[in-house]
Amino acid sequence: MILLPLRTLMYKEIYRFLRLWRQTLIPTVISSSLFMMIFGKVLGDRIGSVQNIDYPSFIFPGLMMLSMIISSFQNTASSFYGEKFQKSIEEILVSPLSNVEVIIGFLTGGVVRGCICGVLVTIVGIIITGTPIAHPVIFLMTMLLVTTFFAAIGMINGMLAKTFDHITVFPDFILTPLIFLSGIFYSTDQLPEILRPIHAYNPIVYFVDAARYSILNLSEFTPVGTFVVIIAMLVVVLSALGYLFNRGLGFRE
Amino acid sequence: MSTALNIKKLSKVYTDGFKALDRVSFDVQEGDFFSLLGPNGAGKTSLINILTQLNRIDEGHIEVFGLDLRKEPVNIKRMIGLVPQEFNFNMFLTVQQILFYSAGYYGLSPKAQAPRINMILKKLNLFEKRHVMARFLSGGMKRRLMIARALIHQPKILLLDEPTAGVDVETRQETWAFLKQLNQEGLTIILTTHYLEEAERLCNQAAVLHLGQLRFSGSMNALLKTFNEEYIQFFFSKPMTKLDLPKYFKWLNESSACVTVTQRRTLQKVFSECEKRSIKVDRIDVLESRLERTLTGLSKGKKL
Repeated sequence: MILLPLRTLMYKEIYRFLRLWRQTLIPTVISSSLFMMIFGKVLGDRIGSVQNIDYPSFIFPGLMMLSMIISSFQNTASSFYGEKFQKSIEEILVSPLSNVEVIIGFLTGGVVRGCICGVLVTIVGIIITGTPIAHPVIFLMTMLLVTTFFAAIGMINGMLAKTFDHITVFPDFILTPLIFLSGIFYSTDQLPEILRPIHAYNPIVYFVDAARYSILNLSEFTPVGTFVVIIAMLVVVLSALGYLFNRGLGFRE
Repeated sequence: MSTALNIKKLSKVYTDGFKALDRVSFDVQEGDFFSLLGPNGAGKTSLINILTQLNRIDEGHIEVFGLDLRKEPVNIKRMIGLVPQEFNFNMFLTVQQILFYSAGYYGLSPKAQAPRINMILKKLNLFEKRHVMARFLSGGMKRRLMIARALIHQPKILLLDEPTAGVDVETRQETWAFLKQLNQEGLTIILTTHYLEEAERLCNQAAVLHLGQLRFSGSMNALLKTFNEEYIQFFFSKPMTKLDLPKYFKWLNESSACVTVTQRRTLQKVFSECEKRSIKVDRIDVLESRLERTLTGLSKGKKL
């Protein structure tokens, strides 16, 4: 049973984005669906198949990942920064909620929003491509890991941001380029030789690989290796979040 | 009566090196209406932020109803209700939602929440506005909502950081009456304010901070006695020149002048002197209260 203070914060964070579902859920699903239709169906016929998989099906896991990454990140970044901007974060900080509970509360909002967007894009993807999910349990696990990871990054961004502009700098200048260079629309063997070693240093590559494995049973690395890397990255990000939150960086003193 | 708050040698230095509090020590007894006074930058808000654990203690010791702040921070949070200086609720939530979330954070069971919220809203004349978004409330209503939120978990100490800043006279009077009533019901209240009349009218105990140091701690009456000066403007019935007036008068224009009344130079003596010189006084105005004078004096380096 989850303690009442934590349950209240989790409820508040989920209600926050559900209340604004037209802004928080629908746009991501529409943009991912358009990508699938235009890149997959219209241009896909000219591209043909990638690694023996038709192009719309090949890009479907990556687009699902894209929607989850953006929505989980945006949720915690804007929610935490909004609380900080309105100073309503003080209400939470003076209450008996522990630091761990506050972190879990905010992450829950990001995880749930990311997962809802992921599920909606998956449904659209299945309808458009007719591709079933190869490993449903791994698919769910991937969703949880990805959304937790990016919700944590979003929360760190929200904590450190000093203006509204700062919460768009990270997604615009770092996250989006990394996502588009992570192999959503192409396979590693289509990359020039010189770029292949660099490709492995892009953390989003592993998330896309995990999604592609769970949906298409197709993996660039070994599935176990991919999940080890993802879990290790998650541990690092959560530790950083815990450390920064305990220090109150960006929102205390 | 027990000690509600015991502060010993409390110091706070911010990361930029600013020393906000310097070995501050004082007690607040249960049931006191306690005023924290001081000019801007005195350390009042830093002290409140340490008590509510928004800021950390650097040095020193704080006990709230016998519990050590460092050892039992969560239990102490349950005992304290905070009304901060600025509105700090989500403006896009309704009055009821704000109180509902606050009640939840303090662990009030769902069954107990509705009656408690309704009771407080009725007490603060906000019941009719319970479904209204906070951003549509008037300034006075927002202030009352802040107080309602701070009381939702039935705290033993209420901390008010300039609670009537920027509100109209009517709302201020209403808030004072409500706070007085809460104090009479046994709630310990600690108030920081720039409205010095507020402290004089409401509080029985006071502490004066200046540049992070405690300059006074004791009863409000004792504080007022320590700096017994008033700055008074005299208005004359007929035009006066500078030479017509006693030397201690500060001539402003032919119809008015100012004088500082002290324990030695009482108002009675000033009037006697005016009578001797056939100066007809039409009326007088107190320009600064004793407390204002105290704080102005402190910021100019005077000692209590």
